Amino acid sequence: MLNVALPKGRLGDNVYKLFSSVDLVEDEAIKESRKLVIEKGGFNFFLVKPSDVAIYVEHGVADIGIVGKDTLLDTEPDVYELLDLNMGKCKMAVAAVNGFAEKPEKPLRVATKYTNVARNYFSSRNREIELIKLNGSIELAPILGLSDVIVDIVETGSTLKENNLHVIKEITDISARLIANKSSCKFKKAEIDNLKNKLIKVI
Amino acid sequence: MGNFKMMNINFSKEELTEFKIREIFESFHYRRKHLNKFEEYALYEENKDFIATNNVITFSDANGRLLALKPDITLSVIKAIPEKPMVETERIYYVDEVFRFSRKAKEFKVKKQVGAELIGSVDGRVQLEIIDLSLQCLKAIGENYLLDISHQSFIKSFLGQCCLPVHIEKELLGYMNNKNIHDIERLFSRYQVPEKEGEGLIRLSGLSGNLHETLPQVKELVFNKECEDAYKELEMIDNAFRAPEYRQRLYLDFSVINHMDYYDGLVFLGYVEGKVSEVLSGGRYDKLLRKMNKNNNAIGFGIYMSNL
Repeated sequence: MLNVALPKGRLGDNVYKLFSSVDLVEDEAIKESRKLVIEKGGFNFFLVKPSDVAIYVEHGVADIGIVGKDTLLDTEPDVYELLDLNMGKCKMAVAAVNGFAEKPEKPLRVATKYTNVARNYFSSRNREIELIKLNGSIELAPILGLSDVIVDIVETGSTLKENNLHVIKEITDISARLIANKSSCKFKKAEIDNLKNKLIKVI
Repeated sequence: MGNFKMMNINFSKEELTEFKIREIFESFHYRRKHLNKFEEYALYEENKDFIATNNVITFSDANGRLLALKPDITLSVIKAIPEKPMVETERIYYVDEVFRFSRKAKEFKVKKQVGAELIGSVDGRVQLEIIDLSLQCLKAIGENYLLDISHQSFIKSFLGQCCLPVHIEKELLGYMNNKNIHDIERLFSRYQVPEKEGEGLIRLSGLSGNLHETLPQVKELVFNKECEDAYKELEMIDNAFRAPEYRQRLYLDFSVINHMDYYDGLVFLGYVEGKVSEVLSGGRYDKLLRKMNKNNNAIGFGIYMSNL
């Protein structure tokens, strides 16, 4: 029995569909279910907040999990990253209000949910920043003058466009990854390898 | 000195495990070493990368010397050994606490660690003793256990072939450590690593499995003297632990990597079913000894009692 941490929402639904496409589970949507633990086809699925998936896996409560690379980059959990599922693709980027001109003589004010990513990115460029940690509606920060720029994930760019913002620098590509607890990979090796090999064929 | 027997005390499971481990160390003729709770801060400042943290609890003594609560034990052990080659190999064990900053919890934690170090003239044969000792300790912790073994010479040789800048090598090692092949491939295409060299490292990163069964694949990867010597060491371990009980416990996994500036031979991690992370970590650290001006070799391991 493998314990799988799935992110709640669209990504979780898509991953479940992916599992059913390789006959790991029956093709039955989990969308309607309000249960947080669903037992299906030799798996225990836990539906958790996307940013918590890696925590469940690192602590061994879940053997494997599906999580966005954005969360992995920001929290750096001690887990194996076994596959890029090529789903939930987007970019981590720096964005600013149209017409923004950077003042190199001052620290750059950066609003973001991804403080670790922002800190690493700007420090690798030797740019002093002032970090403003936000938990949502990041795009609002530069519009209201709370920050100069934002670091956030950008899917289509339409939210940015609607709010008169644009990407000034792409940091990295983001997609959903299959992660596994290191100890589980030792003692449930056959089950995890089997799952990985089935998924490789369809991604 | 007579043995002191304590009666009618309820020991916790962890305490009993610690006693069992100490009993194993004693049976292998390892001598307990008592270490100071604190060291001069300079020891950690000079070996910052080894302890992998800048967060150390420091304080001054009456003479203004800056001292630190030990974040690591190996450095203290090495400090105490002579600079000249030792005539006899020394076998020591310790039961001690380290004061480490937890990045996740954002606070200092006191962690109990027991470990063994073998110092002097260490060769392939003597190494087997440490592997044996590790297996015995893991067995004392839990019935279902395994030891993941890797060799830094393979990793270093393949890394060298890729000719990447140092900070990119660090990124690559991080991916290897997480078995993240897809990001290794991306990194190779970003830095235009030749296909042949890149492929070797990717094959190495993907290698994991029972030591005996995986060895033939490792042999295929040997391309220089360092790899050849490393392969012989691995083969020696496989030959020495032929009994089925041990053969099924020894795994090869090149995602096991320890700091390349300090560890230069065998490295290993021990796992016990039901424990969420590794419980034992060890390796050959001759390079660290050279850095500290000690003309000896050493191999050892530590067991994190807080992970049990």
